[in-house]
Amino acid sequence: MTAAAKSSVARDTVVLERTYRAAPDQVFRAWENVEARARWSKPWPEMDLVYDRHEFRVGGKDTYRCGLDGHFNWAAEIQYLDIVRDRRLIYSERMAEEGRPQSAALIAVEFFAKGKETLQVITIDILTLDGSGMLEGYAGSWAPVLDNLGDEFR
Amino acid sequence: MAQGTTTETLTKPHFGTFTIERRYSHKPERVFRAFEDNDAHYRWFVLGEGGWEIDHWKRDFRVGGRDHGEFRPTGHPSTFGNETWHLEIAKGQRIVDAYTMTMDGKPMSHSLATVELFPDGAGGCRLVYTEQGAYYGGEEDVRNRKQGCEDLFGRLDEDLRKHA
Repeated sequence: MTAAAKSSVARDTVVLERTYRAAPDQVFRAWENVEARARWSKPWPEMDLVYDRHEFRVGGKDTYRCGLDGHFNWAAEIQYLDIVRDRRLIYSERMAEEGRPQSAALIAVEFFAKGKETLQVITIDILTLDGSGMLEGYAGSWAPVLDNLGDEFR
Repeated sequence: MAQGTTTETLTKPHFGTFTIERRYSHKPERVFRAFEDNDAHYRWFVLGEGGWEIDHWKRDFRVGGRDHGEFRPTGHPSTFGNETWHLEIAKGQRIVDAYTMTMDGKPMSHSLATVELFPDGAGGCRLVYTEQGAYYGGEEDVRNRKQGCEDLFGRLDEDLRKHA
């Protein structure tokens, strides 16, 4: 029997929890509103991020581009699978760099009221393709984004 | 109910994953063709052994394409729905889909599904299927889904044998 061919897919499941000083409906709106979303989902202020399409509904699609110095080498496509206002959001996201597919993910965001605050739990099933190297440090790449989201509620 | 949002469910989704591996006595390119060819796919994936009423089914197998259909076990009162988005396709090797299953319009699950095809010996293929998702029926749903997928890949085997 020949040696098993090596998989070109690496996968992981990551759970990210943050508590925000805002009610669930405010946190939900920060995901729903495209201006807010474009602002907080940039990991670094120097990065440029542009939403070309935003259809925040079940079956809707977002597309956005990002990169440095106006060179938008990353393209992303989001497909909304489930939206329950102020409670839950589930979407798939595929990313490509210079047109080459790099990753596909299932992202589930849940909002739980905790007194006057919101516990936000994001569960991500992430696949990285063809040795993209994205997997290592993937959870860490969300940290500045989740920090930025907190800034929306100051 | 606001347009564009699903019916609110009281259940928190359960996150689960499973993997299925099986071998086929056909090359990866041939197995891939059973996904790529609409008629072949309809035979093993949709029709199967019969016992299902298919209300409608549309397949659009390309990156960015969307399949959707509704069906029910014959005589069953509920309608099941499947909506699949193709996120990535590497011809002959890999398919990455995101799909939602519904029952009477309410979500049952949202999953990321990967099919990988590897050469296995002379003229053979190893298929590895991995599903990761949010299931509203808990871990039992995950087990049932795995069983359902195992049945599907069995029907794929029969279809490969019967058709050149």
